[in-house]
Amino acid sequence: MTEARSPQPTVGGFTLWRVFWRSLFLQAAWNPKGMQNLGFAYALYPALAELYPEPERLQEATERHLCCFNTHPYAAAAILGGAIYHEERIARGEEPPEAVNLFKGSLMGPLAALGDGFFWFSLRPAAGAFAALMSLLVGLWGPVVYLAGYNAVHLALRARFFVAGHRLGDEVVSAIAASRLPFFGERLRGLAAASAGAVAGLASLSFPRAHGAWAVLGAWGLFAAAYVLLAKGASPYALAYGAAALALFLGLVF
Amino acid sequence: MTPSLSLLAALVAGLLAVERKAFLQAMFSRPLVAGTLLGLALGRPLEGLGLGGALELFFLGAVNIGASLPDNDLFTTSGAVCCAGGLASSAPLPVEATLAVSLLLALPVAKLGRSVDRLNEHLNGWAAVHAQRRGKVRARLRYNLFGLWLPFMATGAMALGGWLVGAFALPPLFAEGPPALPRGLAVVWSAFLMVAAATALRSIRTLRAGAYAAAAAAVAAGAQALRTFAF
Repeated sequence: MTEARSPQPTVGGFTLWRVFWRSLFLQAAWNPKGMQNLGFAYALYPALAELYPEPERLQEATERHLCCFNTHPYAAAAILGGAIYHEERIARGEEPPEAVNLFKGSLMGPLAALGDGFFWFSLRPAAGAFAALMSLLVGLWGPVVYLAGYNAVHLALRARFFVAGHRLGDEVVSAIAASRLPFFGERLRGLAAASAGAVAGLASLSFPRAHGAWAVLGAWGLFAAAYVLLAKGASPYALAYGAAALALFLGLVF
Repeated sequence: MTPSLSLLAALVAGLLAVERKAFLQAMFSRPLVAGTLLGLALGRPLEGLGLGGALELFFLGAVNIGASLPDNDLFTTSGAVCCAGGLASSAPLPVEATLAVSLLLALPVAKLGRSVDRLNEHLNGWAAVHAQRRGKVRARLRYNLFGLWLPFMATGAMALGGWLVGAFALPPLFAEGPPALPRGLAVVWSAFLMVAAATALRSIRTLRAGAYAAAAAAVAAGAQALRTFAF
């Protein structure tokens, strides 16, 4: 039987765009058993369909990617790019089919840790706290600052990870390491802390003027007490309602 | 405010819920941005911005890692902003009082939103099982988009519910309550901002968070006080 596929199967540029677009739905069907498995297979499908025109091979390749998978949703772009790199090699007969799942399995844990540390614990708090501060100073431009600042980094890194994964395969790890994300993450967390403090400084002056300097001192006392109680494990909800009850009482009496 | 604006806000809330986890995650669904967008939809952008900013700080540490689910900040934001929009159009109250009462009512629904998220994950598990059955591969993979529906519907309903409470349930209570109540609620709003800032600071994982925050707080308060009293 004649082989239907080309001698050097590769994924074209338009298909790569389609995979990247579909990767934005990675977590649409997040589930406790397979986690991002369905999203990963859904994203990769256009590339697999191009590499494997035969229905049996396409089915087999798709089944490979329905096993349990979970990582940071942005960093997953690197693994998706790398999976295309490996599937191209598998389609050419240069690698056994197991190679792609070995690649996925070895990278999903470290990239999840890296992505969580940088995006969820550094970039997002920094962008959120800074934009909350900006919204006190420049009003409706605050959310614009948030979206522009956050997504300039997020989308650039997501696209870069995808391209690097596809070009470098297993070597994508060194490309990501060169990004120095932990270094920048530490500075972003400093910005987040400073922004939260500045919001507290401005908010302390927002107490009704009629209550004078005592209100400002009370605000600082409340801030410090809340911070200490949270450190001791108090629930933020309990603190919010406790502070509200106290403030309502004081506001009604004085 | 016409009910059509509340329907528009419900639609916006539903779309933001899809963006929150299922698609893109470009932070349109974070409280600050979502609050402002919902406020714009209701014709009350400043109320949306105020509530969104406070809730952004309160939920700054809410992170979805692996199988752990955080409280649903968008549920609270949608309920609070739509409640404030409905109340502001139905009762002449100071802005701070409107924001405080909306916030106090909507804060616990973040827990309800978390339960909806958990239910959605279990439904997604059912979709994943269907996707693994035999059949056309392309059609099976479309089950991936099944998970967009429940967040869309539930958050839209929350926005609509918030608006109904604000527009119809709360105004009679304020009409019959003590005259000093709005003044007391204004103090509640300022107190919540302090608790939200403390919660935000506590969620930031860096050794020098306290020092950075103290320095920035002193500079910000000093600059604002100078501006207020000198000019």
